[in-house]
Amino acid sequence: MQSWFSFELDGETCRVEREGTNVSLASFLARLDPCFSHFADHDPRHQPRLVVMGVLEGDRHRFRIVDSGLLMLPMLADRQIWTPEGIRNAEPEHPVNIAYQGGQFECSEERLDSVIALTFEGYYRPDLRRQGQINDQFDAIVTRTANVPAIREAAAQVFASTENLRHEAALRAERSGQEASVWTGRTDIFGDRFTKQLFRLGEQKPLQYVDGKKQRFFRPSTLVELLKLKRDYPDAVLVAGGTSLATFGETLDLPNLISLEGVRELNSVITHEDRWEVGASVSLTQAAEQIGRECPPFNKVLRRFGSRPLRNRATLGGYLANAWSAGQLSPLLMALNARVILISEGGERDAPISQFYTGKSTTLLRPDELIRGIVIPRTSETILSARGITSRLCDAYTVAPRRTFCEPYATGAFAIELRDKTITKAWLAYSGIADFPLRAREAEEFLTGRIWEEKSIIQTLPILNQCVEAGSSINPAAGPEYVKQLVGTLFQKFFYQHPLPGSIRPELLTATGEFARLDEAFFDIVRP
Amino acid sequence: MSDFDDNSTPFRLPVSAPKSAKETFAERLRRRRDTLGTETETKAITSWQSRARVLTAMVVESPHHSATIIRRSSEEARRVNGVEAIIFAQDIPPFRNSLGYEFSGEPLLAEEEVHYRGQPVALIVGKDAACCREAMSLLEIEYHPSPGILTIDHAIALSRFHEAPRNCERGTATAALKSAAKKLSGTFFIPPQQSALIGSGEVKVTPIKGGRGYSVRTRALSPALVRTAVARAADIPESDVQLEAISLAGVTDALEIEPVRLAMLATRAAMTCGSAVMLMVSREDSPLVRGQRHATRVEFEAGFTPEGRITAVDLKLDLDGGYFATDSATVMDRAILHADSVYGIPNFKITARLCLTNRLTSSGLPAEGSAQGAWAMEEVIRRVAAETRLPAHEVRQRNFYEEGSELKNTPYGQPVSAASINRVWKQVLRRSNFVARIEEIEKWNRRNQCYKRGIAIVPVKFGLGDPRPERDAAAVLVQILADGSVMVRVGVVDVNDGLHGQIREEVANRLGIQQEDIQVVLNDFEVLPRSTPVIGTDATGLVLRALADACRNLQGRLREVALQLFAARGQTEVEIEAIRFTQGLVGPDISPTSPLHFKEVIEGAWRKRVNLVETGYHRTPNLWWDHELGAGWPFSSFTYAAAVTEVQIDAFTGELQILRVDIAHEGSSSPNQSDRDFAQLMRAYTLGAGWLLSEEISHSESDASLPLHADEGVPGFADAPFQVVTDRLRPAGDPLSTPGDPCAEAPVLLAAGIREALWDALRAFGLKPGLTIELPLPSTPPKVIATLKEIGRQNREREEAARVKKTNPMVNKPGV
Repeated sequence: MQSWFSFELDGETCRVEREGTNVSLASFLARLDPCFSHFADHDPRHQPRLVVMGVLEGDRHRFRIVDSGLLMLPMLADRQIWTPEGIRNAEPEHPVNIAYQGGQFECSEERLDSVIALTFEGYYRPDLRRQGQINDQFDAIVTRTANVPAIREAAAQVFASTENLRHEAALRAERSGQEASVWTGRTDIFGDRFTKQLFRLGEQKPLQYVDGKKQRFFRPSTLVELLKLKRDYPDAVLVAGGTSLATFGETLDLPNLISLEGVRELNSVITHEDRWEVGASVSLTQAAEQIGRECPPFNKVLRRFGSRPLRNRATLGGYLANAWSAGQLSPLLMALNARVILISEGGERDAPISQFYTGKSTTLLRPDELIRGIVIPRTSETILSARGITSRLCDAYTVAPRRTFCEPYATGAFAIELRDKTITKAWLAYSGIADFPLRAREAEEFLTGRIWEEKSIIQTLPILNQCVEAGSSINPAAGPEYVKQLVGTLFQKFFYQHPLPGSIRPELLTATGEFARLDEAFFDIVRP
Repeated sequence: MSDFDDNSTPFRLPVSAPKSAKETFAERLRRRRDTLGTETETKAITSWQSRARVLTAMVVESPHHSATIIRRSSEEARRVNGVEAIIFAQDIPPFRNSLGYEFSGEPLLAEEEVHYRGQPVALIVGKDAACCREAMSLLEIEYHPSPGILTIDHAIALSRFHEAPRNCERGTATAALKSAAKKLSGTFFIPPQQSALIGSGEVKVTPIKGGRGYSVRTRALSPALVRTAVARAADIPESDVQLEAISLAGVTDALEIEPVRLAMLATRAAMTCGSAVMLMVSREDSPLVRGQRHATRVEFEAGFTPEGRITAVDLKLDLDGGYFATDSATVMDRAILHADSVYGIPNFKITARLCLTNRLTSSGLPAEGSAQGAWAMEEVIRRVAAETRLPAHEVRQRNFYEEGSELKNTPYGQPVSAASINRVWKQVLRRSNFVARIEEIEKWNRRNQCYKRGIAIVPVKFGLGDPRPERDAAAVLVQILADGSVMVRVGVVDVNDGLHGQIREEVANRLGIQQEDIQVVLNDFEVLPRSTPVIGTDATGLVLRALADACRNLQGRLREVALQLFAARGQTEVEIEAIRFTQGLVGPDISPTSPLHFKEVIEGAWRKRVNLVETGYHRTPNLWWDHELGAGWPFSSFTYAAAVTEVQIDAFTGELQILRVDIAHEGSSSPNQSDRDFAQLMRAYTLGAGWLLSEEISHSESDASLPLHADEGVPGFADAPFQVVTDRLRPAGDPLSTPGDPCAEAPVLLAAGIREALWDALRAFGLKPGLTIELPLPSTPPKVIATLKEIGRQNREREEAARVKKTNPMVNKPGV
């Protein structure tokens, strides 16, 4: 056991000694120096204090924006942190710093710091290509004082400059056949102080840290070690991203913490021909980067999941283990027919996600088990045609009081496999409506063998309505009536957005006439 | 015989006789004064322990809206280790348990009754928050709750109002309504909005000068109010109260009245314990720290011609004034003064009442009152348009104030610039390509079934200034240092909204120097006697004019110095009036000779011992408002704006997205402040958009669930309009009365466009004239869907009725 560790703070080594294992970075910084004093009044909902973390994910070096209040100190060992203060001081001429000089963006300096940190991450993000992604990048900003159009414009200019840089680098790299590494961000095309330091970062080493109060923090590097630790310390709490655990702050007494971040088996996304194996401690952002291109609904759902700093830390395993009844991801994982792999010293077992949830806030997970990962089947055309399927439609919809960073009303995810026009298999899954995420089995069975057309949809609605019961833990702002309606309307939305060519006659869908007719099917599903 | 038995003693010591039930008020007063003594009132700060420590005080809030306190006992709680004091109303000396006349008689701590949920009942002072919380859980306070009045309707039914209704009338609305060609009446409800939850509401009060004064650290938008209140609570002169500057960057709403209450409570705790006290509320969303707007119920009757010209309107506004009116009357006034909006209605009567409910309201949010008034009128116009089956924008335009006619003044007599209304209106119509977009949207709605769009245009007139003229004044202190750099001190709270820059620009222009040479100190409440409230006044305009005043006086003195310097150089032909200050130079505007450097002049002034410190002061002249007459000139000027808003509704979920907003508005008079104007505009618009669309306050009406469920619906980054196009026009009118910052509050009113566009989109869902549809505010997805359902239901009923009538023509025939 060691009683100290170090991480890089604003380009300099910062040694941490005897600090509590559950102390957040925000409260550490607030005590460290008066220039960080505003980190003291951190609040994840209303005033997050964002910092940029340099990490090595697989073979890719990345800057990730994170919420310093939700980051436990030992998680930082062998990592880099750039505070907005540090970004400003290290390179005052950096495009991000220049973009926010002068002008009126945010009244509060601290919140402008968050904007700077978010832009900083975006500047180095290789996948940030489209204007539309700016909303996604800045979704942690929820204030009445943000000048959103001005921030959008400033950020767009910064991101355009990096795009130019990337194009030029790719052209240069083309000669050596290395352009792929430019697009995926595996080579340093910026060559500035920040990236030079970032690319020096190595893998996280195993850590066994004990703080002043004899609380221990373990970061094993293999699964075997992890299971052994779990056996040795049965009361130990497993932590991956720590976004939900850290909200309790320093009030929780955690004598033994085991971090999953160093375990290689849990930290990778393996792409097979027919499936992806996503490790339990892969962050949601990382998962989206790996599979989102081939599976757009995954990206779509994540865009409305928490905020960017949360997605950067939250992990798939942590999400499942928390059994969040209104979580947006589970319906999609069900629709994708994903399976969860559970592991214990006794061996491995797996279960479909729909069976993983056993009740309100309860799951299949036994105390001695942990989630190893998730297997998501791939549905390329060759795979589908081998099964005699002509097309697979899949989409997910989240309904919430605002676009991002709030408790959703409900989420529905749907997938349909078609042989010509006939449905061979259907997946209809919801969360936020019942007490736990679930599939509408009867409705799925009813749909199987039917034609993918309006008539079948309208016939399905009463069945759908019966098999999804409104639970007790629904969002109080929505009310059971509304949430219950969403069961039908979300499925209808799926149908109308994914019609077979020719299945809907456009003239039938005129605004007023269509609505007056469809409104029965839309809303009044319950008919005596 | 002891001395005590001596009957000849001329006076008697008070005997602790058992309290008789028939104790008179005077006796009770005397008894309390005697039992309390004077030592609790001014506890001497003698020991170093009491000086060194900072105690924590926590407010015990009433869990009921309305209740009688039957019993209170703190015996258990006092035993908690670390608890220093527990203060109830009876522990406060007589006449001291009051927040003062501005608070309409609200007691500092509730005495026999509580009147709103969250009302302070007791104060617990202890060494830290944990022991205070523990003591709070052990405190025994027994309430006898009564249902109370929670809604405006309830208050109206019981005729519970704060004061006589206020009204304002032009023409004879009642008679005109009788003779109107078409008539319409209806009601409409505007819900409250909460202030943003930013930072903690902590107040720290530290005794200074050995307990004869207090230093207060609080986040307050009007620190002068806090100073007055603390001085009153401690019974000391205001000069013994120090205000510690605290950054309020990023706070633009609702911190006016709330900190005053908390500061007085903290002072009371500090007086009792003789130590510095940090006061905190037990819940982060306590009404004591979260201000709330006045909910408003609108009732109207309108008479109009079939062409859409409104001839008469009788508008009744009922505002939720809470239990203690505080400054709700001002809000009511603002609602009255904005209810005409930009429409010249020949017969217009507006009546406003302040309902007495068991709630707590606050006026510290931008555009409080004015938004309710203006939105009420927009609702009337929309309903008239629906009734006459004319496009709403045409009805709006037809009813504008007219230049040259008798309808050029507001009902209370202040003139309106019809030209300015037409200017912003035409500009935004042209820029947004409004007419063409209506057609495009209709086409789009026909093609698309998942999403429907709507578009609307809304004009706004906003009065700058406060109906309480005493608030419309500002003081500044300008000081030129020996090297020619300038120090400006301003008594306005710094919310970091760009006021620094505007002040710097103004001084630089006036004195003809570089902006870098000017240091601006906001938040100065020690040197300057008057702090200008940020909300409800044209603070920027007042400050800029006060600066102009100070600079003019300084220039006068510097001109004389310059004249002497020119004379010393032998240039005697220079006229003093012709000396100008530009680009760091001082000299006659048309001059064959070389001018002096500004620094040279300052050096000269310094040597000649000319006073280079100047106070600038400005008060807007001739402001008055008589609410009994319903007449006045309450605003220094009006600012005008118009917005075209396009929204899209998701037919399946009821979610709404603002696609594009085009705004034409009058900017501040400086051409360099466009960034600040735009930022202010977006902030205010976001505030309005959140109020109308997403910020729902769900009050749990049962007393059982104590924590108020305050859902945070503040619009996020992605909820902002996809596209914002603004046209900033030069302010028209007298440069001396143009607002300094016209975009601070007025754009809140522009958000009405979102609601109007939403109504327009509802037409695509089958909304037809004749249906009685309500669209509750805030229009969250569940409410939009409920409205769509209602439209569908009523349409079906109509079709059914038409079918029955067709098949059976005898139905509904008289005599059958």
